[in-house]
Formats: sequence, structure tokens, C-alpha cells
Amino acid sequence: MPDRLLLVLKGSHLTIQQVSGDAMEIIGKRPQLLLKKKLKDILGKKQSKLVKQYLHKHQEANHPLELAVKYRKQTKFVWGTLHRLGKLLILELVVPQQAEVALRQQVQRERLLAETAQRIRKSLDLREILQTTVKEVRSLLQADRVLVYRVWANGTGSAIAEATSPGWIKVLDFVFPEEVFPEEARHNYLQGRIYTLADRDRGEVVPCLVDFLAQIQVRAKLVIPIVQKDNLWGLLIAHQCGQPRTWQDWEVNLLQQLATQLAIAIQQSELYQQLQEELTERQRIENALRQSEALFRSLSESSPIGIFRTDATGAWIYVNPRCQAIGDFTWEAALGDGWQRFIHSEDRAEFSQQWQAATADNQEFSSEIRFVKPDGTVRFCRLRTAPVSAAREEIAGHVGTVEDITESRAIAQMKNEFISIVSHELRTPLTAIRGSLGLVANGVYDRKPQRGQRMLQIAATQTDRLVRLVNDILDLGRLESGRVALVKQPCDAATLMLQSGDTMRGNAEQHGITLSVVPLKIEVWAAPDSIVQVLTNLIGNAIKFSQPCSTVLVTAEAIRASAQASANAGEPTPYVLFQVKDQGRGIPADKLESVFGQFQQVDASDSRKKGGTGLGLTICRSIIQQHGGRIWAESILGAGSTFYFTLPVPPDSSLCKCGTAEDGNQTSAGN
Amino acid sequence: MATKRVLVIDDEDVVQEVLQGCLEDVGGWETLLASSGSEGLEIAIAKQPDAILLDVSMPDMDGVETFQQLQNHSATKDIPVILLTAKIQPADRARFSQLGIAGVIAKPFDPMTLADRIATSLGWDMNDEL
Repeated sequence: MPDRLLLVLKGSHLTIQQVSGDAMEIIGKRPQLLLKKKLKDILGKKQSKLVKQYLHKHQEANHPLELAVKYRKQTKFVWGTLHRLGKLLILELVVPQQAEVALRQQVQRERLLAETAQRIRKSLDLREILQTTVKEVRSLLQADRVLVYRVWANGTGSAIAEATSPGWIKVLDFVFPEEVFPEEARHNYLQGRIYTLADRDRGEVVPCLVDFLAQIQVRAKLVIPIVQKDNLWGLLIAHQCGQPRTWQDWEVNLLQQLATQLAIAIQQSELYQQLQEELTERQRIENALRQSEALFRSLSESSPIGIFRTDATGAWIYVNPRCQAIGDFTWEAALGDGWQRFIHSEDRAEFSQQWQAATADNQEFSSEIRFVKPDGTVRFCRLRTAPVSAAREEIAGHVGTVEDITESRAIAQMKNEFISIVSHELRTPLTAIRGSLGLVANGVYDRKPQRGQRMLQIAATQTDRLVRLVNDILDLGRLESGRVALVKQPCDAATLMLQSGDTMRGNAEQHGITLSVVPLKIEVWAAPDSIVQVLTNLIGNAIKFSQPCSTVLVTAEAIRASAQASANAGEPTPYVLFQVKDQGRGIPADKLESVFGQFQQVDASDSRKKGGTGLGLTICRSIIQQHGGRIWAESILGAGSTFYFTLPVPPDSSLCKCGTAEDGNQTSAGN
Repeated sequence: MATKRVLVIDDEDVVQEVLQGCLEDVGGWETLLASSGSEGLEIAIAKQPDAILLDVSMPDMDGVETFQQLQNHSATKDIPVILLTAKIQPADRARFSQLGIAGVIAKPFDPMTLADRIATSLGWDMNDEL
């Protein structure tokens, strides 16, 4: 039986209360000297701290604690086991047999190795793994410095993790030159060989290396390679700085095993890192894809043009909201060939044939079709497609656009009609001019001067007609294209009325007509020249279509409309109403609106007989509309016509401040 | 050979006057004038002209309708008609040709060659006239 010593401990300082056994044999002290001593005095601070931690951790449980105690100034190991017995602690110290010591040491080393390996392998972060390794190994070997040395591809290397005892220089991030690490050494390490140096100063290394080692304060060292597959990743190095050290076999083995664990941990970390990078990259790609998807979806979903996509057979697999709105069909109804049901029945058969041929040939396709909405309205659409190529030049389908051209088509038609009419209207005076001048120029009337004179007169009057027509076309073009903005300003209605009257008075006298202007002194918000143009045009028409001895009357009145009345009438509040009244032949009810259209005289021969161009009222309407006003005509056949137009008053007009009239329609007397 | 008599139907007075000058003072023919299709039809029936020069764009009854009425009337169906038009689209020319019209002359025209062109269209020998 080995010798045994029992110490009964008590209190927070773990004071020895009782001693039983051979104290002299085990720890070289007489029992009396141990009584009342504190445990730390017997075991040292480190072991004592371990005991306290154990007690703190296992306050209730009854786990025995095993301690390896190397009592101060004693060479042999003493094994201690701590037991809890109620409030008492009993420390049992035993001097083990030598074989048992070796076994226990082996067990302890393996346990340390396992714990250290576990700590190293616990993390996937390379920096943390390396730092844990150097710290644990230094603690395990009680070395002065432990490094992880990274071997770079170019032959150099550097310490990338370091644990160093206080007082010794640190070599972290120190780049060791290639000479320090010759190819031969690299080769040996790759074969798994280790390097031990017990004492730098015992002639085992070349002098230059001795200097270098001295420079970094290395007296003894142990170097273990870290090999990954066939690659020397780095070295695990333990330094003894202050004194020589003969490295024990168990120390070498321990470090070798840790290097193996480290290599695995590094590989795992690198794989993890690689995985993380791949995940990050995948996330980045997914984000980019999401953004791209959002971008293209917004392009399609918000597009003002209808967009659709077909599969390789031409069946619709996507239709954007605008396209659905154009055809007034739903997504579900449009998919496949469903959309073709909404094509006008007259177009469907022919279109379907063209569509099948185009999708079969994988050609670009363009066609005009009519969609019929559920309410029966017809929309003219331009449909275009282009094939979408997939991998290996296969056709994945077609992408197409649907554009509603109903309005633009109507405008184009109106434009063509206008050009056709203008062409005719221009050619008529040109024919007369060309013909009459041609006859005179060729001497046909050299002997008939009166006929020649008549031809020249025709040429002159038709030239005037042509000039008026060209001017009116240009005026209308400018007004309707918006190229010339009307500059509005406060201007006096009376002045505009009188100026127009003065301009037209000679004309009225020529026709034997009384022109009566009753000016109204009030400000209107208008471009004065254009309003004079409107008034003279209306007065001119009135004169043209009046019988001699009749009267053309020009008046105006201020209207203070209520907000309600204004909303119903469509005029701004308040406004000035102008009237040009004649006693002429009148306008049929069905032409009261159309007379404001281009070349829409009541009688088609009016342009010839009355000298009008057929654009005057169209120009008047355009001018008034650009003032925010309204123009219309009322008439009694055979009794005369009255043309009305409205103009707004300036924003700061007194009319604006008067509020609403009691009856909503008050007339001011003219002066 | 007797002097040719050509009926001009055009609603534009000044164009009538110029045509009259071209036909009488250059072509040496007689002219009859009408300002509308219906007036032209009456004169054609009554006066039996050798040819009719007919404006296409006229109010109420246009040139094509007037031509069809002339064709429908036994007294006028054999009178050759030449259309005067500002419309010079190829499609119009083809349409007029299908109707059986003897010729089409575009406005404006050269007053010195108008009579020649009419005579050529109708196969008249101008030397006989002069």
C-alpha cells in the first residue's frame, strides 16, 4: 500500500484542521507543522486556486477532484484527491508507485491533448484556432514562446500566431527570409520530420543561424510541420528562450498530435471560409438577380406599351398590365391562344394564319389588328414580335409589344384628309393663276387687251386668295402645334372691340351694312392681337353673310357666375361674354358645330363666292380655347346668327373679388 | 369639219373663265359653261356638246356622280368626258379609268397645251380645227 496522508480542511481559507497519516514521508513535514496552515501554503497558489474553483463549481455534488501535486522542494509527485464530507473537505495525498505515476501522467497528457484538441477544433475561425493553439500549447509545454509559422509559396514565411511569456520579444508578423528556410528543410518537413534544438550554444547549428536565433531570443526549439495533403502549410514551433531544453518524447508526440489536429482544424476552417465565400457570392448573385428581376419587372409592369411573351409554340405565357388594359382582357383569359378571341372577328382568321406562320418561321412579325373590348369598342393596335433565342440557338419563344394606335391612327387620318383638302384648296387658285398668266404671257391676248386685263385681274385676286389661305394654314399650324404661345395680359375689352370695329368698318360700308360696336369697359386676360383677329374674323363673316341695309352688332357683358354655375358651364369664374350678331341667312342647326371645323363652310361654294378660306372659325376656336374660353354659335335660319365667345378676367380683377351674383348670371350694361 | 363644242362644268367661276380662254382662244373651239353638275347635265342634254370637261371636286353633286348621271342618260351617254382634278393619286387615276372616262387632266395645267391634250385624248385632229 502506498503511503497516505489525509488532511481535513475547513473554512473559506481551507485551513487544515486535522492531519492523519505519514506526513513526513509524503510531504516531508511533521503533522504538527501542518495544523492551522492554509491549503495554499501546502499546495501553492495555483493548486489551491484549482481546489477553490472545484468547490465553487460542485457545491452540492460529491465529485472527487484529482490533483497532481509536486510539492515544493520535493522531487516526487504526489497525487491528491479531494472529497467532500458534509461541510468538511478531505484531501487525500498519496505517493504513487512509479508505474502508476507514468500511467497517470500518460492519462493526464491524453486528457490535456483531448481538451486542447477540442478547444482548437471548436472554432471555424482560423485566427481564433491559431491563437487558441499557441496559447494552449505554450501552457501545456510551459514553453517561453509558441508560434504558428506560415510557409508562403515563394519560400518565405511569417509568424501568424504567437503566445509568448512576458519578458520575451514577440516575433508576430515578422517575415523570415527565404535563407532561414532552405529547400532541404522544406522537403524534410513535408516528409513529416520534426526538428529539435536543445541548446543553440552547443554547436548544433551554423554560426549565422546562431546569431539569428540569438536575435530572436531562441535558446531551444521544437519544430513540428503542419502538412495538408502534400502541402507544407506551416510549422508549429515551441521556443525556450531563457535556457536550454531537452525536449521529451511525450512533448514531441503531444505536439505532433496537436499539429495533426491543427491541420484538420485549418482545413475545416478553410473549407468553412470557402463555403462562406461561396454563400456570400451566392447571396450577392441572388441579390443582383432580385434587383435585376425587380428592374425588368418594373419595366414591364409599368410600361406604357403592352408587352407579352410566348413560349416556343407561340402560346402566350406572360402579358403585362398595359397589354391587358388595351385588350380589356385578364391575365388568365389572355394566356395561351386566349387573347386571339379578343381580335375582331373580321381580322381573326387571317391574323391567326399569319401568326402561326411567323411563330413557326421564328421571324420578326408586325401586324395591325383590332381588339374588340367587351363593351364593343374597337381599338386599333400594332402588334410586333421578335424571336427570343435560348442556348444552342434554339428559339425559346417570342417577345412582343402591343401598341394602341387608335388615336394616332385617327389623327393620321385627319391629317391626310386635311392635306387632301388643303391640296385641293391650294390647287384651285393656282390653276386660275397658272392658266390666266400662261395665256397672257404667251401673247394669246395681245390683240384682245380687255380679255388680257381680265386674265391679269383673275391672277391678282387668286393670288390674294392664295396668300390668305397660306396665312391661315400657317396660323392654324402655329396655334395647334403650340409653337407660338399666346402672351396673355390684362387688356381692355372696349379697346379690343373698338379696334376690331375700326378695322372692319370700311368693309361693312362696302357691303352697305351698319356695324354697331357697343364697347364694354372691363379688363380681360388675353393676348390682344389674337382677340382682335377673332373679333375681325367674326365681324367679317357677319358682314359676308348679311344683306345690305342690315346691322351687325358687337357687344360684351361681364358674367359673375357662381362656382356651381361655372362648373356646369365649364367657364372660369368670372368671365366676359362677347357677342357678334348679324341678321343674315342663318346657319342650319346641324352645322352650328361643324362650321368650326377645317374647310367646313355652310355652303361649299362660300369660299369661292365670299372669299373665305374655310379656316377662319377653326383659327378663332383654337385662339379662344388657348385662352381657356369657349366659342359657339346660335342661329335662326333666315333671321341671323350670333357668335359667342368667352374670355377670363385677370386674376386680380375686381370681378373676382365681388363674390357670386345672387342669381349667378348678372349682366353689366355696356357704355 | 364643224368647230368642236366643249362643255366646261366647274364650280369655280375663275377656273371656268380660264378654261374658256384656253379652249376658245387657243384651241379655237366653242365653249359652254356650267357651275354645277346638275346645270351641266341640263346643258349637255340640250346642247349635245362634242366633249365635256368636268371638275371632280364640286359641292352637292361631285364630278364622278355627274359623270354617272351623264352615262345613265341616253342623250349624253356617248359624249366623251375628260375629268379635271386636283387629285392626282395613281389610285384615283386607275379608278377614273375604270369608270370609262376618256381622260384625266390634273390642275393646274398648261393653258397653251390644254386643247392639244384634250384633242389627243379624244382622237381629234387639231389641224382640221385650225
